[in-house]
Amino acid sequence: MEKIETVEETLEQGPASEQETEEPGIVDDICVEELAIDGICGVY
Amino acid sequence: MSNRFVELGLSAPVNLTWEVTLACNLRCAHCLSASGARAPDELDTSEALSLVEQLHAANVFQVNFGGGEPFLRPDFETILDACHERRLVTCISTNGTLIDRARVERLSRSGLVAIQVSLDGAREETCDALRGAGTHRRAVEALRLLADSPIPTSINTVLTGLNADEIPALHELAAQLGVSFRVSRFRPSGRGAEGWERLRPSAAQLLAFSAWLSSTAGVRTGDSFFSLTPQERQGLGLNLCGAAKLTCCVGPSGDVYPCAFMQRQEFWAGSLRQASFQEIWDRADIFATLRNLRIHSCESCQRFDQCHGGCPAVAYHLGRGVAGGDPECLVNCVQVVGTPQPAADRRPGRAA
Amino acid sequence: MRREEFGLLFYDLKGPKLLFVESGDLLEVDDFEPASASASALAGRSASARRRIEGLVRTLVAKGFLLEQSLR
Repeated sequence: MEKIETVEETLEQGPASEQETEEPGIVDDICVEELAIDGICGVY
Repeated sequence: MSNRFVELGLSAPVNLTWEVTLACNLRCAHCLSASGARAPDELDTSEALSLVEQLHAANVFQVNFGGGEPFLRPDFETILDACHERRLVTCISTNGTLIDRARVERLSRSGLVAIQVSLDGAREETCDALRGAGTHRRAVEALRLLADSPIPTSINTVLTGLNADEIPALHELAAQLGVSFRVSRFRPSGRGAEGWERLRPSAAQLLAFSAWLSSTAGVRTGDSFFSLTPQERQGLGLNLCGAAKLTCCVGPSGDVYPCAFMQRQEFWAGSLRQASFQEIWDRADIFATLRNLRIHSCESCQRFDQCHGGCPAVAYHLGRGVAGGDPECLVNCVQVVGTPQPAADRRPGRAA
Repeated sequence: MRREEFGLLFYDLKGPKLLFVESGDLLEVDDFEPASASASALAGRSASARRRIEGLVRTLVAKGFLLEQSLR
């Protein structure tokens, strides 16, 4: 059985390891922001 | 990642779920739509093609087809062709029973189709207990045919208490078949509402799944689990409800709803037989309500920025109201597991 | 891609992922049509606008939302 973490331990987990979070970029004062989506909520 | 642009409001959904028929040749215990018999007043071919044209005009990028079983509609491939002619990307959720070699070849032609085949257990007995006798075998047959084609294919598994311990094996099966693996959240809508207490994963199972997600790459979750997402998966997708903001749902009879899990009268946004899709998207009162939804009860939580109160549909179906906060969020699951449960809640096969 | 009030919204079906570009009125969807690319999109623009457009296009190519085509 997986060790059940306390809320505190869960919330103290480190930054994303699978993929770097894309911060919004600025291209010559144009804000460019990427958002990964995968079905957007729901079955599909 | 900010949600600023999502909150600004978009001219149309990015994608939408279109349940083209309620007809299904299966009677899955957890079906979100309680599918089975065709609805008496489903959109006819002309109405369906009109909707395709409206979605094209609105610049919707992708249509996710489901039902029921979409391939039971005799005109379904006509609808697909109309989408592809207009460069709409389509994703089809199917039970796989009507997938044969000829169909796969036809669907391969556009290059704009993705398919997910429902499979709710790595073991035959688990899947068949939920979906019906023979469904595991037929789904795997379909997956093999699709894996041999250029069509992007995934297994779609709804996480329940019955199959929670088979998730890693399903992931392995997907790898063996050469397809992707998607896990979807079980929600108490449709037949899922009737079977909720029997089929829902326990808090411990949800936590175990969250932990497994954090150590397993390449698993798609369709943003179903953003309220459970461990820190490692932050940044991989939307971390708030996309209903009426990025997506919506069209039912078999042309009724429009915020999402597939909110197909109830109180969430009805309009009918395509009375108003255009664009009018409904722009003006539906329920859409405005959801776009302005603030889940105040969750705002003091440390994880609020990571889930924004979770899934309003689940909160609603479990009696909390849409603004009540997701009862299955990571924090709630951790708290439940830390609390001794009465003997009546300890079901066989579930982690303590 | 499509036009939004804030600028442009791109969709990459391979992700799938979205790219929000707060370009305002700088560019229209038609500017990305192959026939008009590198022609009308830059014609008559100020040096500042041209620099912004070129920088944005480079970013879109780098992120995989635009494919660079060579005439060679």
